[in-house]
Amino acid sequence: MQRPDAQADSDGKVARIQVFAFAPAVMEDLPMPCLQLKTGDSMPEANILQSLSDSDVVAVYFEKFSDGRGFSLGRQLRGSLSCDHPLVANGHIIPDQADYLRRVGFSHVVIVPETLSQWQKSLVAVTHRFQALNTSPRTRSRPRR
Amino acid sequence: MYKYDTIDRDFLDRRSAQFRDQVARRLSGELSEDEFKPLRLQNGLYLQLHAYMLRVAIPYGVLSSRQLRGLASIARDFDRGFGHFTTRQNIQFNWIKLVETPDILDRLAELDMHAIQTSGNCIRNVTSDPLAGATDDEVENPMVWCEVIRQWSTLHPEFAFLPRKFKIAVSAGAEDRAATGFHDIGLRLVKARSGEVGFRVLVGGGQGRTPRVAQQLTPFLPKKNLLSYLEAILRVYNVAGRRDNIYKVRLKILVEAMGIEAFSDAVNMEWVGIRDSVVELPLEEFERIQRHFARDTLPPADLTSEILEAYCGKGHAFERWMRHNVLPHYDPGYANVCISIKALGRPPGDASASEMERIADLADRYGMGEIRFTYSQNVVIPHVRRDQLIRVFEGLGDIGLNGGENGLIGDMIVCPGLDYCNLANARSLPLADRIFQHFADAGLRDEIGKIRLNISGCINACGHHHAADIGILGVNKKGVENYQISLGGRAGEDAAVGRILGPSFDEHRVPDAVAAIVGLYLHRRKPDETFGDAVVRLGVDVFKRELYAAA
Ligand code: SF4
Repeated sequence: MQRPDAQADSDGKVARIQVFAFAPAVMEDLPMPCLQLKTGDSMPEANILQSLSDSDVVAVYFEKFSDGRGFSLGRQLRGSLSCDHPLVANGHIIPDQADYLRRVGFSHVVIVPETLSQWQKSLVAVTHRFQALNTSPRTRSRPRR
Repeated sequence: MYKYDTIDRDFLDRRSAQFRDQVARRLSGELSEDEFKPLRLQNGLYLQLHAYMLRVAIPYGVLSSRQLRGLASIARDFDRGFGHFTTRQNIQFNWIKLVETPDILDRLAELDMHAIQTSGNCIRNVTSDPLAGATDDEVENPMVWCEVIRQWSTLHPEFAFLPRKFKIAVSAGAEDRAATGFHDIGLRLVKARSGEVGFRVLVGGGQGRTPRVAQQLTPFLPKKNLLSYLEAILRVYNVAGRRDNIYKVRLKILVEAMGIEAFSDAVNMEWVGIRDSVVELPLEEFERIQRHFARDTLPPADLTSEILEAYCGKGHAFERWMRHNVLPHYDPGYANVCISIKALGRPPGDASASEMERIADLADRYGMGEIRFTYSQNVVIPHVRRDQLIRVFEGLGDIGLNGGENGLIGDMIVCPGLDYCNLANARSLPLADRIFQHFADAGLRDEIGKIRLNISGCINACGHHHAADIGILGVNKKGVENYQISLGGRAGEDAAVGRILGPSFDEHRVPDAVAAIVGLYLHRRKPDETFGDAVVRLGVDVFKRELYAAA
């Protein structure tokens, strides 16, 4: 699978970005991340997070889809950010991780457009909740089981 | 036992459909093998030496007779008529075709079963005491907590891609029958002086090439905080566990590198933020799960059974079976029957479809239709009326399964070894047979009494040789299969890693070496002293001298 990236395209503009929200709507103009972290980074200092405005995008870059540290980092970030703060997963992630990413607190993922339908499918493939993880009220209100 | 409701069933159906889709995408090339691998592993599918292997989850080793019959039919229809009981209380099918796995998962879903998280770098099937809920030496029924943990860990979004597999065991008995000291997390239900029940939490245990006994993380964790505390431990591991070196990825290495105090500080820092939060299980949900494990009302049993008395004193085999294979129950009129499926010429842990069906029949007729798989790859039928034990004995005799002795020298845990495993240094199954033959005299086995002898074909230690009174490890000595012997391992309350005695032996000399060790024990033991206790009292060096003086 192609590695999606939120990088500038060849003519220097920000690449077209396909993004999911909790409901898998496509958004094309999510701003570039203000704070770009990667799997393996530790949590940023509290003052850095506090200095962000509500619309400043925070992103976690997955170098490898199977490196689960990004899920804990996402979870920790969501615990410190407001529930509506844009938190983006980018890098090497696969559609089968859609629900996990959402449930640890990512609000958006950056993907290649051709995989959109598979991502949408994965988001609704298994919707049961055995855990109450996300501090986001939208996730918390889902049925637990 | 826990019974699925429509929500659980719907979940399995969806999960099965999801895997069917993943297999199709792999076959079409949409998913690379690298990407497919963790997905298939999290659905229990391994690629082995000769074929795919599917490991099916038996939650904490408990299943119904209907489920066991269903597994038997899967063994017949998709395997070669056999299933293999594992040390994690699961069952494996060793001759599976990839394209058929979605169909098998559908069949499993019909049985309220699945293969989720039986392999892969995630939280594996939680294991427990095979006598849980059927014995009077437990603080409370650990299965309630196993089910809580099973549900919490199933498809846990944060912990599906851990550095490595992660194993949790729960025990509640005075005797630890779940080997909690050899798990990433060992939970022991304990009662405080105040009467409150909680968990003693152990971390960082494990076997493999770096065997470690788990250390105590906290002496008492209130039950209501279990999930947030587990979550804090897992998060510290997920974030800080090594991912760069396959030999250093387990929690035991992290705990050792950090030191138990620093690890505990890190866990507590995570825990502060989530303790008493939405992460904890709501009381209503706990009570819903708990209701599934309420004790059944057992019909009154006849304590002065004429049938039992008529047989005792007459049939030697039955008496021996009563002594070794009938375990106490909380109701004096009942018993738990342990069926040891180890015998000469059969791979330990293997059972045929017809044997599984017969065991299911016996559980229906003489038990409560429930079966347990044990850590030592045996089977327990709980809740059998004592006055019907003779019927069970005879029924097992019909399929040749009333001869195996629970806990004696023939009741070995043995990994598949070089015959089936591509990581092996040496064969383990033929060696088990040699040892069987060497101790063919039942009188001698009785005299030796309780002893655990385990064999692993390589340092990965799937045969749990580190945790055995006598552990045998296959090594490669200049291209020749050899075996190293260790002594003094224990899996129970006072868990210990066995100590290697010295230079290895070839396969012909291993039985004599074992006999020399056992001979010294018989010679030097005190009355009623078990082998394990004698090794502790006398010290491993005494055995080492005896062994190499004779060699
Ligand atoms: S211990 Fe080694 S040889 Fe035996 S099953 Fe495990 S990996 Fe294979």
